[in-house]
Amino acid sequence: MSSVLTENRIKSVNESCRGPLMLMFISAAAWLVISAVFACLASVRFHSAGFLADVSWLTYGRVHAASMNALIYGFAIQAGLAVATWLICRIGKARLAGAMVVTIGAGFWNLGVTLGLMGILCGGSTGFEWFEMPGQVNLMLLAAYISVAGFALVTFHHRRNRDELYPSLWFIVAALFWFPWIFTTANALLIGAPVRGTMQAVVAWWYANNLAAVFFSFIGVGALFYFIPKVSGRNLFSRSYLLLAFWVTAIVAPFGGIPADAPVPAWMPSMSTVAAVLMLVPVLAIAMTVHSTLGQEKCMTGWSDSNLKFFLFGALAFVFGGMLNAVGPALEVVNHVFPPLYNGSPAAEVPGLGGQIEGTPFSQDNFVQFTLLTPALAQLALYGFLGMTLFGAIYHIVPQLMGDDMPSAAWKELHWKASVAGVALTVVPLILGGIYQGGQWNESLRDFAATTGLPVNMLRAGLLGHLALLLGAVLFLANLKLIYWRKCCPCCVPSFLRVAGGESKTAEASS
Amino acid sequence: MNRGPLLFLGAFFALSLSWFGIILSPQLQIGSQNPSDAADLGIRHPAPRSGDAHAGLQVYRAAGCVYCHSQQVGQGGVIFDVALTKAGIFADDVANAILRVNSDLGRAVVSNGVGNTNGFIFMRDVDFETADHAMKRVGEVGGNVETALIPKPTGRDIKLGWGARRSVARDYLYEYPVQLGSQRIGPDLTNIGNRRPDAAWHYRHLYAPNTVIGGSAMPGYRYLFEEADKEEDAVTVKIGDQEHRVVPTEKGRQLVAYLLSLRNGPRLFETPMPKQVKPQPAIAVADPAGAQ
Repeated sequence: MSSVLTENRIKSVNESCRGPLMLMFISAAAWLVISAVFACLASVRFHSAGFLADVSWLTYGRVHAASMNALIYGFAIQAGLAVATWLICRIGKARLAGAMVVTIGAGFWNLGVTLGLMGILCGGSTGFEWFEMPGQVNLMLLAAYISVAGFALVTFHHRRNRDELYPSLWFIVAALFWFPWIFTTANALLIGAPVRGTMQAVVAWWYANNLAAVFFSFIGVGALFYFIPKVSGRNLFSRSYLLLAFWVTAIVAPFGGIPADAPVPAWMPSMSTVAAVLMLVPVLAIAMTVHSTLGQEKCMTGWSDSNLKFFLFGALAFVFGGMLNAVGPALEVVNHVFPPLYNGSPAAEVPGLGGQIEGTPFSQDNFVQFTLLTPALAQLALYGFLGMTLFGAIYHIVPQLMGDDMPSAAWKELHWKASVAGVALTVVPLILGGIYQGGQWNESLRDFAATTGLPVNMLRAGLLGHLALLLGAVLFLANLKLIYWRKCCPCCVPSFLRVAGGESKTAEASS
Repeated sequence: MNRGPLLFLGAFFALSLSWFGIILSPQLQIGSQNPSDAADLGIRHPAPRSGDAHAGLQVYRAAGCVYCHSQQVGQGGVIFDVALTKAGIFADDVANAILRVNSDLGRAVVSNGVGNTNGFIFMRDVDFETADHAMKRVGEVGGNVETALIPKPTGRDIKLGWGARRSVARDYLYEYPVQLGSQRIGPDLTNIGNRRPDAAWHYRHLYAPNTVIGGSAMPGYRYLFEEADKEEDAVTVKIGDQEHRVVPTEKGRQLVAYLLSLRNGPRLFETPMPKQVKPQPAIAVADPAGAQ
């Protein structure tokens, strides 16, 4: 009896989410397609310098920024917000509060992103990476965000399930608070009353780092630890590892993001270097929890499960990216804690690079700064970790919302394959190019131009990857559109639009 | 952890911590920096841009040049030269002391150098400990002997000619937005105005990068140009066999004016560098004498 009650409850929860969340999922998928189109255009510019050189809005700097912003604001934040909202409703067994306001908010979010992207293409970019959309649209984005996340938090407050909070909710609720704070701070200090000089760069780094290392990580990790146990049918291995991961990430991760050698007081990059190394703690805690939850065997066999593999890929990308992120900083820390180890390294051959001289910056010879490793890691985090996790989540949530299976399992499978290929083809060449650059630049270099050939070829190879991602995104969007049309047309489309179809007439008659 | 408010306060605490750490404290430290008098040059640094160069930063921002070009010079460290600026009354003892700390120098070079009143660099490219040791040994001789430490920035970027010293926070006081950049798909542009002082070169390069730098991956910026109608201020660009005669639009002119205004700054308090007046190069010139 009680299980029937629970089932009805869950059904009612899903019904309350259907409208607003489907809007957000479909729009997010559409932005993913748009982002991929712009990314392809940007890669094409590396193949042919003269191509479209007469068109100002198609210049590399603008389409690249448009592609990143469509991916971050159109897809990642929107889909992340929708998945977070569903998790709050589902885990708390509460109907979504203010579904109408959430729907309107989602509409305005999309309007804001559209205007922002048009602004970038017209040359109105702010010039700060990951924060390019012109300041005028940010107020709209903030209001839209608050109307969605605000009601998600209201729903959280009214949750029916009053057991101990499930770990996913720690991450997700904290993330929902996080974004408006960093977004308003960045707006106030970069656009409202701009700070002077390099402080602008500091604020921009702080914002982008918080967005990636805290907001996106929290949304993704929160989703992983709901769906991995759910899909695999196993119990969460340990709450205490996740508690550790949560607090270390929340306190340490925001101190990262200042590149070594930046023209700021030297203590800042040093602090970020230490923070990057300390971030190994949550990464390892999360890796351990995923592994122990699934068990050795399931970690291998899980790749044949049509849903679990998305989450496995996401977790793997998170762990791999987190470790790669810490390699450079860890080497620097070793160099400075044990200077004798320095002597064997190629860096020691450059006179005076010993690092013991007062007044010199922390160190120059890290592998990361200015190399393609930076965009490689960003792509891995955005697409490999967050994107894949959200795909898996959406493939899990949408059938529940619509009460129907995904229209095409083959498209879903192809979307998976295209995304894996796309992530591999956009990330691996950039990592190789980045390592090559780092290696070349650390030798006593005389000719810069001689070292750009291979990295540029790696960027050219990215076109293939972006085409694969485009294919995957189109299939993803088509699948979502199709399930929506199939279920919603009969009841949502106004009657004057469906006089012709016999099927919809019967639907009308039966209602 | 079972309460929403605890979660809220925890997140708030964590975020405030980083706000105080990464936003407020550097703002207190460098947020109210002022331009500095570079005393030996008689200029104030940095100086605000004006006219086309000022507007050009916005063209640079709008075109997204920052995604491929950085504007910050790094520095691996500082190496030192040590100079004798005054030999004092015990010139022979000073010469012996110099020979003891740097036995690579020939006696003739040293006695020649000690007699030179313009300053004599008796050690080059050494680290601080060695330089300090040498100054102490020579200083011990007494009799009004004076030595000077000449710090020289070094590292990859400086060897590439991207600047004479590293960039510091003060260099960017008048920039909005600051375009530090995170990629070097193309070279650093901090010092491009000194490296490429020719406006016509920049126009040709922006119009068709491949024609001036073979194998360049930079896309063309033809939208910053229009067909020439007046012959005198046109720029000729050869692409293959075709000759294009074009004039930059207003935006194109502004961008190039901005690029030409990008110059690595002078010596500041926070960036020790040799003084602009160079001491006589003793070692290189005196080679034949040293062989005797």
